[in-house]
Amino acid sequence: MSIVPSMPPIVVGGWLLLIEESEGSQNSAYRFHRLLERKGRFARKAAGSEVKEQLISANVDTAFIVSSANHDFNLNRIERFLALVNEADADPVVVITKADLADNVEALVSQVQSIDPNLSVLAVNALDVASHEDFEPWLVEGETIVLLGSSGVGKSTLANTLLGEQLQSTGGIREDDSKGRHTTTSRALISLPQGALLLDTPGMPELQLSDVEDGIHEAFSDIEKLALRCKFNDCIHGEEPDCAVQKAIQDGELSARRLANYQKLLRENALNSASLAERRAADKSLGKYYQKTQAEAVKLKGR
Amino acid sequence: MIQPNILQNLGWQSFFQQQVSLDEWGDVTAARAVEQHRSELLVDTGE
Ligand SMILES: Nc1nc2c(ncn2[C@@H]2O[C@H](COP(=O)(O)OP(=O)(O)OP(=O)(O)O)[C@@H](O)[C@H]2O)c(=O)[nH]1
Ligand SMILES: [Mg+2]
Ligand SMILES: [Zn+2]
Repeated sequence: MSIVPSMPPIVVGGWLLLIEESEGSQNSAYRFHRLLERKGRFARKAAGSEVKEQLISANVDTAFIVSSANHDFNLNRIERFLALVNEADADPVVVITKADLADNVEALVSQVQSIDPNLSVLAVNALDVASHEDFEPWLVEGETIVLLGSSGVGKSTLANTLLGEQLQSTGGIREDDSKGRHTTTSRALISLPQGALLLDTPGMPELQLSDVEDGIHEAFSDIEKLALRCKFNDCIHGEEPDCAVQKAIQDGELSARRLANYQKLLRENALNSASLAERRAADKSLGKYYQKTQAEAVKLKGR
Repeated sequence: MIQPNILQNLGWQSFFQQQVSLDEWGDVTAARAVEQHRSELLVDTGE
């Protein structure tokens, strides 16, 4: 174990280069050399009123957007996660858990499918080992998968089922409002038997978007395609005449909910991105080029 | 020394490999951050 005081912020999933120190004491065999550039940016606005970016993870190939089939199920939230996942250049898979507790699972699956027919959607009982098979296409060697979703939806339960053992502790849930207490408090990348790597995360109750404009465009490409046919270039799809988006809503091809969510996410993102840019500029002028080191020590995982 | 065959099941990809210079190649070991605690980072070299 070696203490490195001047490391850049490193998140789980990140790759770093170490230099082996052949001489010297036995318990400091490696020294931090440098961090490799990340593939895709997986960040959200940190919780709280302060505008600050928080990296969720690095180098993710696939994101399981986990939602449970109870009152937690919410298309707006799924779309929010889709914007984030698209921005990170990861492939989204929507996973509906607690399928064993609901009788409207098929309807929920088709609701998700209605936002994008090409989206992969699974409905599972995360406690059932047989669910394993549904995930096979993604459980390939070297694939990094992140579990995203609110607290209590069954992310850790799913991680344990895919792992085949109880490594991640899972929690009970207050049934009255189906809001789970936070059971998982840190992030860990778990090696699955099939060779994929699974990153369990703590639930994210107030996931705020910032700097994910491209991700939003991608998540709502259907609306943006329609908008090209609006009479006015700057149509905001309200009361304007010949609005192709409003027409699609009237024709039942697009839901008013989805349009409203799209506009809300764009507004939120613009607001947060602007404050984040201001903050970065302020930090820079103060000479704070580096954030406070997130981890001060590197420890080698024992085998 | 970078050993891609060992790193592969940790998710090593050509995107990362391309970032390692020839000069570094023999002297460095790649490691992936697998767990983060308050002030400690657990990394895995696959070895
Ligand atoms: N019946 C049933 N229960 C489930 C299912 N998935 C999860 N649960 C239960 O839901 C509770 C919460 O599950 P967790 O896996 O701890 O949830 P989590 O998403 O990891 O929550 P945080 O770590 O707080 O973010 C546990 O009691 C699980 O047993 C499911 O598919 N069916
Ligand atoms: Mg958990
Ligand atoms: Zn319009």
